[in-house]
Parts: sequence; C-alpha cells; structure tokens
Amino acid sequence: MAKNIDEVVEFNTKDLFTVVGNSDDEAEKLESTPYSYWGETFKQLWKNPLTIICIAIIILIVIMAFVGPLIKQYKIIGAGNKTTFDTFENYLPPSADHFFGTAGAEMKPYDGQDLWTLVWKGTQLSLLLGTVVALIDTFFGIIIGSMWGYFKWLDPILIELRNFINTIPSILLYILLMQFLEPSFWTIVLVLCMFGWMGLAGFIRNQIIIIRNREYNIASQTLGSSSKAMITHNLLPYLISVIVTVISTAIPGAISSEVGLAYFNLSFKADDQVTLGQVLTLAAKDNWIDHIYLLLAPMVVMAPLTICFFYLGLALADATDPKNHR
Amino acid sequence: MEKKKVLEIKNLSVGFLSHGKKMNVIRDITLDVFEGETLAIVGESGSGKSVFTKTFTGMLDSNGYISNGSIMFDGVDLATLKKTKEWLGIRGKRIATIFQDPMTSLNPLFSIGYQISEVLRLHHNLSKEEAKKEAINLLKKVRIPDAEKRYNDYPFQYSGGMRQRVVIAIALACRPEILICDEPTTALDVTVQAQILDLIKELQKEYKWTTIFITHDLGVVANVADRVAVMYGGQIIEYGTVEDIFYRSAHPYTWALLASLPQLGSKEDPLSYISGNPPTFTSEIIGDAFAVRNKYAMRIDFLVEPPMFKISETHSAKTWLLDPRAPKVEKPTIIKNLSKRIKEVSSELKKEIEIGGEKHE
Amino acid sequence: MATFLIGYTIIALIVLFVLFVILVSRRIIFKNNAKIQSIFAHPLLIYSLKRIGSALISVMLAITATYLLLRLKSRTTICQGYIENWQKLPVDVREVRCDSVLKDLGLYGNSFGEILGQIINYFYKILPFPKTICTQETGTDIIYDAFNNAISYVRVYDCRTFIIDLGISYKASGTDSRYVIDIIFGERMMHSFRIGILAVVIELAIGYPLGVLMAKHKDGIIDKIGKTYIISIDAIPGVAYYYIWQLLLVYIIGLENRYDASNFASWLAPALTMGLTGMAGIALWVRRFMLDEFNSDYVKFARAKGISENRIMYTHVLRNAIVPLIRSIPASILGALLGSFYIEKIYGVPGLGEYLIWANDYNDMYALQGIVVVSAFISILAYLAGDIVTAMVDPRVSLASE
Repeated sequence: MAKNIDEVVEFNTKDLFTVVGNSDDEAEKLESTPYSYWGETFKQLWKNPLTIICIAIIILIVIMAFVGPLIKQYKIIGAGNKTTFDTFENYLPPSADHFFGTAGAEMKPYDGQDLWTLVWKGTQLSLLLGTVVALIDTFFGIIIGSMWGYFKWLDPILIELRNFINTIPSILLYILLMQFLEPSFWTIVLVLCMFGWMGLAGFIRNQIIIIRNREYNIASQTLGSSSKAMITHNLLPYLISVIVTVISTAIPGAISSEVGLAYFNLSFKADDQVTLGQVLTLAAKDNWIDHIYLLLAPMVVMAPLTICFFYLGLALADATDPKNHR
Repeated sequence: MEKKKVLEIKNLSVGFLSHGKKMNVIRDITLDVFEGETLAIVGESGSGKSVFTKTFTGMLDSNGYISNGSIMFDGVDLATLKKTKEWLGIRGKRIATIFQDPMTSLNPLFSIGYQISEVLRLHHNLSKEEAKKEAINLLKKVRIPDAEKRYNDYPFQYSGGMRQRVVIAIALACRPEILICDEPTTALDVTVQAQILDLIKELQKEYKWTTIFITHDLGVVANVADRVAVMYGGQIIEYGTVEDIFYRSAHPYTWALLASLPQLGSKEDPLSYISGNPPTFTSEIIGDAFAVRNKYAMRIDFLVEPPMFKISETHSAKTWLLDPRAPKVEKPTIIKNLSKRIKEVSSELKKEIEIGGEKHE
Repeated sequence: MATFLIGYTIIALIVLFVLFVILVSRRIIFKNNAKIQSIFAHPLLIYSLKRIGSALISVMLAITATYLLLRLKSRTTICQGYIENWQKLPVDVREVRCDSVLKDLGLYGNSFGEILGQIINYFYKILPFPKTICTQETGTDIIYDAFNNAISYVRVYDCRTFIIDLGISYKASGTDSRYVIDIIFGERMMHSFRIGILAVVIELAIGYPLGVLMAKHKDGIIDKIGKTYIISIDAIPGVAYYYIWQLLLVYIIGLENRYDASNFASWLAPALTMGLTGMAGIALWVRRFMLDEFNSDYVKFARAKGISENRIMYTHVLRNAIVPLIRSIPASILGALLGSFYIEKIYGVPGLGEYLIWANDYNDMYALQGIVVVSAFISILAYLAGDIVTAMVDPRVSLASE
C-alpha cells in the first residue's frame, strides 16, 4: 500500500502530476459482489451450526422411522386378532430385547407390545400425516389468502368466518366433526385441514395488504403494471420466504393437533396403524408414574422431532429474509 | 483574534465491524470547532458525516468503535469515554442532537409536555411545576401557538414542522453548549424548512451555543453556516469559511458539488451531476478516494493520498492539485462565475418575491 | 312476576338506549346539544355497540353450526346414553322413549321446518325475554289409572323464571340443579376461574420480566435459555408437556396431584402447569416488541437527550412495547373463566373444560350449546375489552375511524 509519495518510484514527478481524468465506466462500477437470493439464503442457513444439527436430527428420525421397526422385526397390531402378532408381558422395562420396554396393560389395544416398534411405526404415520396436512394447509392458505388480500369484497366474509370459528372452542369442533366421520387417515387429514388454512390465509392477507401499499408497488402500479404482474413479480417472491417458513412450522403443528385428537380418542382405530400421538396419550393414561419409560419412549422421539422442525422454520424465516442478507 | 476552541478533533478514525469485515468509515480527521460558530458539515450520503458527529455524543452503533484519535471537549477526551454513565453529564446536557426525522424522534405515547419537562427535571433538577412552567416557556420560544393548551398534546396530533419545533424545544431544555443538527430539515416540506432554519439561527443568537450542522444541501449551508467542512469518503477534504468554500474552493469534489446546485445552472445548460458512487469502505481506499470520479484526477491521485494543503488562515484543502508540482487546471466556468451567478439568482428571487407580494395584496 | 317486570324493563331500556344512540349519532335529534352529543355520540360507545352487533351474528352462526353438527349424531348414539338398559328394551318401547328424549333435548324431527324451529327456539331462549322454565320429566314411566288405562305423566320438579335461559341439562352430573345456567355459572366456572386466574397471574408475573430481561441482554445467557424454553413450548404438543409438568411439579417437587376446592395448595399444580406454559408466549412477544422499539428513532433521540439507559428502557421502551400486548390481557383474564380441557382432566378439576367433554360424551345438547354460547360471549367481551383498553393506553388509537 503506497502511502508516501517517495515510495512511488516507478513514475517520475511529471508523469505523476499529469491530469489523466477518469472514465465514467470505472466510476459507475459498483464495488459490491453480485448477489443471488437463494445463494445468500443457503449461506445464512449453513452458517448456524444449530440449524445443521436440527436438519441432521430430522433426517435421522425419518430414517429411523423406517429402519427402526426392521431392527427387531416385531409385528404390532391394533384392535384386531392378537394371536398372529407378537405380544409380551406388560410393563417390561427397557432391555436388549425391547429397547423402549413394552406397553402397559391400560394401553389397549397395544398392551404388551414392543414400544420401540410402536414408537417408530407411530413416527412414520405422524410424519406422513404432518407433512400431508402441512402441504394442504399451505396450499389452501396461499390460494385463499391471496384472494382474501386481493379481492376486497371477500374481506368481510372471511373475517366473519374467522370470528365465528374463533368463538367455538376448537376441540369441540374436532369432536363434533369426528363423531360422524369414520376415523381414517384421510378423515383426520380433513378435520385438521378444515380450519388449518385459516391462520396462514389471514397472515398472507395481512402481508399482501401491507406489501400492496408499499412504495415500490404503488410505483409499479402508476407505471401501469397489471395486477397479475404485480402479484407474480412483486408479491410472490417476498412471500416465498413466508411459505417456506410456514410449511416447516406447520408440520410440528399438525403432529401436535393429532396428539390432541388422540387424547380424546378421536384418532384412528385401524388394525395395523398407530400414531405417535396415540402412543403418547395411551401411555399418559396408563400408570406412567411407576413405569416412566412408557411416557419417555414416545417423548424422546416426539420432542426432538417437533423442536427441530420448529427451529428449522425459525432459521428459514431469518435466512430467507433479504433484510438479514450480508 | 484567537477564538476559543470548544471541540478539538485530532486524527480521529472510526471503524465498523460488519459480518466479520472491518471497515474504516472515518479516516484520520483533524478539525477544530470554535465557540459560538455554526459549522456546516457537507457531503453525500455515505460520506460519513453522521458517523463523525455521532462520536461527539458516544452514539455510534454497537458495532462501531473509535480506532484512533482524540476528541477534546472542555478538558475531557470524549474518544476515551466508553460507559453510558460517563456520558451522562455530557450527552444531552452539554452536547445535544436534533435528528433528521421529527416524525419518529418523539415518543408517540408521551405528551410533548412530558417529553420536554422530563429533560428539565433530569438535567436541571426542577420540580414538576417548575418544569411545566419552563416547558411552556420553551414551547413559546419555538413559536408553538397556545403553548399552555398544547402542553398535553401528543406528537401524532402535530405536523412535521411542529414536531421539529418540539424537538428543538427539547434541545433548548438541555441548554447545551454544542447543538448538533443532523439534517434537521431534510424530511420537511420546502416551505417549512426555512422557518425551522430561521428558528435555529435566532435561538442560537439568544442562547449562544455552537451549532454543528450536517447537511447535503448547499443551499442550507449558504443560509446558516459560518464555516464549512466538506466530507468525502470518511475524510474532510476541504474546510474554510462560507466565502472560502463558495468563492475560492480548491477541491474538485467541492467544485462538483457546487456545480450540481440546480439553482445555479442556467436554463440552456444541462444539469450537472457527479457520475459514479461514493466509496463503500468494503475494500481499502488507495490514493484519493474521489479520484475515480474526478475529471481532474492525476496519476498520483490513484496512488498516494494527498495531504491537507493550507491555502489561507481559514482555508485548507486535501488535493494534489494544490501541490506546486501540479499543472494549473482551469476551474469549471460555472464555479468561476459563481459569485456573479449567486448575485443574479438572489436579485431574481427578490424581484419574484416583490412581484408575488404585490400580487397578494 | 317481579322477574318479568325487571326483564321487560331491561329489554325496553336496552332498545330505547340503542335507538337513542343511533338517533343522536345520526344527528336526527339533539343536533345542537353539545353535551348530549358528546356523551351519546361518543366514538367509543358507538364503536362498542357496532362491535357487539356484528359479534351477535358470529354467536348465532356458532349456535347454528353446533346445532347442525349435533344433529349429525345418530339417534341411537344419543338415546343410548339417556335410557337405561337400552339393549334389553323392546324396540317399540325404546323408540317411543327415544322420541321423548330427543324432544326434551330439542333434537327431535328431521324436516327442515322442525330443525329451523328448534334453532329459533334456542335463539328465543338466550334472548333476554323473561320466561318460566321447569325441570321436568315427561312420560318416562308408565302408570295405570283406576280403569287400568296407561297414562304417561309429567313430573314437575322445579320452576323458575329466567331472563336468559340456557336450557336444562337432562343428564346433570352429580348436581341437584338441572339448569345449565346454574351448572355453568354456579358450579363449573368457579373452579376453572380459580385455576385460570392464578395461571394468568403467574403468566404475567414471570412472562413480562423474562421478556424484558431477554431483550435487555439480547444473545446473553438468559436470552438463550429463554429462547430454548419458548421454542420447546411452541413446538412440543401441549398434552406432552403438561405431563412433563405434572411429573416435575407433582412427583419431583411434591405438590398436590388432585384438585380439591377447599385446599389452596392443591390449586398450585394445575395453575403452575397452565401459567408456566402460557408465559412463554408473553415473554416471546415482550422481547420482540422491546427489540423493535430499541431500534426506533425516539430511543436514539431520548439517548441524545441524555436520559439514562435504565430510564429509556423502563419508561420509554417498555411502555411502547406493552401497548400491543395489553390488548390480550382482558382476553386472558376472561379466558380463565373457560378453563383448559387437558389441565382440568389431568388434575381432576371439575371445571368448564371438563364439563364440555362430559356434555359431549353424554350428548347433552343444552349443556354443549350453553358452553358454546358462554364462550362465544366471553370471546366477544374479550375482544371489545381489548380494544377499549388499547384505546385507553394509546393516544394514537381512535376507534371512531374503524
């Protein structure tokens, strides 16, 4: 770094003091490096070790959900014929044979079955349920939310609908709906999705109204952009970060809602299926004080799974927000 | 006649840490501020003028720090003060600041009266009633009509100009020795700007404080300042009295700034502008920071930083053009004709006002 | 008789008042009387009335929806719970008895007219018109008169005059009274509210200071621990961590496990479970709003005025950060009346949450509808109170514009 005039030896004084001017091209050149939205997003995401740990835990649990039951090859059942399946003594503590122990007597129809297998089978179904519900909720949330924000006449109707749903306790709605629906995978999806889109739709509606009134959109409107162009060019890119985040937090949300259903015995009653929520609530109704592993078994999978998804959602929210880039 | 220095800034450098990168935003500034004067600090946005004055009140953002130099104020080196406690007797009480946006400077949930008397109670230990009386007094001083009734108003009931008056009243309540005005009129309507500037000038006469005026508007500078310091790329590249800067400016950047004043151009010529962007501090600046945008740049400007050349007792500039070895360059014509042009413009303006006045009547 | 008089007087007064407010605010009468204008055309009053008016539509919708959902239950499901030895009774007898049960429950008939009539009948019940209601049993037993003819009988137990009637619970649980309104307000709500209000106190007392501390020492150790806690509470299903709390509070710390109305110590475990969960949300929002306010210009200016950091923090910032949160305080206090299903179940609190589950299990239509109506009215009140409180603390909010 040349600081002193004497150090600049390769020029003589006359050369140095010659007006050379500048080039406008040089002057207009920006010093910053080119910017890519997704590149920066992933850079932000990978920077945080906790995010990577969360992703690793989620992947591990997903793999275990499928590999776990294969390790011991126990067959589990539901309400059907017990004899063709593996049942053991009730309340066996965790051991080499039963990593998580066996289910208690009150956990009918799963009493005496291998908890390890139950938990991982349950994880499979809960994950599937959570993902499907999250995707459907997000899909309808975006569609209805953008219409809600876009068409002014829809606003009072949907607001009234939201008020109305908020006045009835949600669990009562679930209970009443499940009473005449035969509990199965798709009816549970239906019940959970029935009002699940509401939160996201309301959020997107607010965002659209806020963004619509921002200067750059008003500018774009005065320049004659069509509304379709405004939604696709100005609104949607901004909403992508919102959508990614919502999907990631909706999965643990749906898993939690299913636990609520299971608590009121409204989750499925299929023969060869079980959810994590059922395992958990059945264990909670059993004598878990004396056999703590009954409660711990579903908990050690459910807690990390939901927390990691949720944390990932928060990390995505931060990383996809352009304000946090560089 | 030697004027008393209230602030003595020596070799001040400020760095910022951003995403693990170090940026030198203020680079080796030396400047004196004299008692009772109005010093204008002029520069584009990003030239570091706000950061520079923030060091006087210890209000740098949390990732900024003074890396070198001293700021002497009444025997205290402000550059060494770290803790908020050490600042308490100085910030607000002796050096007050008015910010750019009066719409957000006031706390929306407290009445304007409360916000003024809060300062009085804190800095001058007035009782509640005394503070209220004094606050109403101050509201009158900044020409808020019906001050007694206005005491319990909330900021949201006021326009920008009125809010800036309240902000000034709060600054008055501090009874500061130095008042830093950080672009106080930028966010206001053109019609209100002049009123606020006049108010500040008048109050300064009465309270005899020193004003440091940050602005990018040379029109404002001509209106209020005694002395001007021009900043570019985190450095002061020229300083002098208003006359020095407007009529005898020596730095090409000052020329470019003056030339881009739209009022001074004639209708035939296209508006003048400075091409390019100010430096972003992400990489180290070599040579003269302005060189890449400078039509008069010499080869040396790209290699070696120029020293500060003294032109007169009051006037200095930091450009190699003042080196005896440098070739003589012709100032742009618009700068040469500046004094003539200013006189023309002002007489035109006067005429217009007179005509407008007659029409009104 | 007195109730009738009072009831109709109240109705007349309400109607007159609303009419008067409408006429004054439209400037049809008292156009020039500034005093009357300022009282009866006050924006807050008009806003509240409008809000209540629109909320009543929501309540009606909620009632209709609940009713229709109840109608979807099969006849057998409902009657089985009411008629003993259902399986053993001959088909014709149980059908006759089932009809009378359904009539009592207001669920009889499948034609459009009958359904509409029953909904309208329910609306009439909850409107403040005085009416006399008796708990009664109709024709459940068959006795014979002197000529050996079978006659059904009506046994009247108790008659009372109500202004608002929530109907009769035909399967009242362990209680003498069968009026739903008595059960909800007299027996159930008090238990829920005890636990709920204690939980709200815990929530606010821990949530606010924690949020402030987390914001003040952002990224510090308290912030990190707090954030971990909040994320865990948000992520893990409620049922799951209620049991974790039970394990901790009851089996490790040693608090009472079963709720007992006369023993304050036994209220602690359910209240703490509820409060320590609810506090997470409060702390999160306090922290977020505080940090937002920290970056605002008025904080910089306050600093430039020379105000100490603590004063800025606790006077200027906190006040601004609390404004958006204060709206939810009436909601959480009123919400305490309703109780939580899970917590009441876990700790055996005979509160409203538990009653809801019970009412559903026994298909007690009036009990279920009663809870829906009460909770709907409470949520309306909570919204309204939230708006009014916000208008009181924030000078910028004027309800007139809404």
